[in-house]
Amino acid sequence: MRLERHCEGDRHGDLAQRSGIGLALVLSALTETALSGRAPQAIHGGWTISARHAGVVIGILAVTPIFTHDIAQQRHDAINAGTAVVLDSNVPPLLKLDLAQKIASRLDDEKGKVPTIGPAFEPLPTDPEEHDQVVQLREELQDQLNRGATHAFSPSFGLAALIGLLSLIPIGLARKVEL
Amino acid sequence: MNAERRSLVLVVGAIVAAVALVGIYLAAGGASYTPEKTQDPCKHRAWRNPEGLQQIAEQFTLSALDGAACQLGVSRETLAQALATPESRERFMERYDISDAKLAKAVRAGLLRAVDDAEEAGALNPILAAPLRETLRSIPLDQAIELINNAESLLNNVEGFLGPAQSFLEQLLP
Repeated sequence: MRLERHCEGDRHGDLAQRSGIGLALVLSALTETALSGRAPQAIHGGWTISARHAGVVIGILAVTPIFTHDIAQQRHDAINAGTAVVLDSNVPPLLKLDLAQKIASRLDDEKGKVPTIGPAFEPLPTDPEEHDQVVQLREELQDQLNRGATHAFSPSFGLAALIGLLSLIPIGLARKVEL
Repeated sequence: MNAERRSLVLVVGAIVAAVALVGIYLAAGGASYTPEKTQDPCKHRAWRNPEGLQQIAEQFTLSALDGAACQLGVSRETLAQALATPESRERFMERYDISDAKLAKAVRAGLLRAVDDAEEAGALNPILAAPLRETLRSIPLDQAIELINNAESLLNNVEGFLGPAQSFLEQLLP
């Protein structure tokens, strides 16, 4: 099932990349057609807009595969970490088995999203001790899923910041251009 | 403010905002906000003072998972997910290129490690451990997985297997 989800993530990434390539190809041609016969300043502005869009496309092309890979990897790590939390929890064994089945079902239902596993723990046990143990387990499990989802953004976030910094180079060069 | 100065302020402002964003992310622990790493299954994990059959069965299952996962070179958690259903087991074996024989060998090794751990923790009397080891060495794969996978089933099996001798076993358990 994870493999299927991984493939689904790859398909989304592939679609995004193709859309980006298509956008880049069409945009430059349309811009050139729209600006033919115009004043030099207008043409310069057109190239500026084209360059900006090309930058967006390059950014998407660079970030998308990294992000889709990371989200699949982090999902895998988060589920493993969550499994460890369930296995090592102090919840009574038979209740733990019941919860594990409900959590697995919940994870299946929440495809493509950061799962909210709270409903898998309903109804909460009436016994005060078991109630506290189950609530603690629920919080620890949700924390692991949140950690995985958050960390999946980190490398692509860093790369986007780097691309942002690289944009300083053309900004610096543009200061020397006389219009 | 002239145009050149205004553009400089905008660029510097953007840089400061970008650096502050990354800085706050790191300061808030973003770099280490990752899912917990799973433990090495080959390392011994101490039992948590089990009381009664249910908790002993649970600890037994966890030890067996550790032992089998160690043999297969995967994490305990990966193996637990793999053994949940026949379909997940098939996918696991295909992904890691594991044959039925290799899985059976690993699961039996896991069960034997669980017996060792139970004995070491004082949860299983050596009088019972020796014949249990002999039984586990030749147990069929499906039955071994059932033992490793489902504590409730394990308990039922123990009760069914022991029958009238269960009260005797209860006396041998801590």
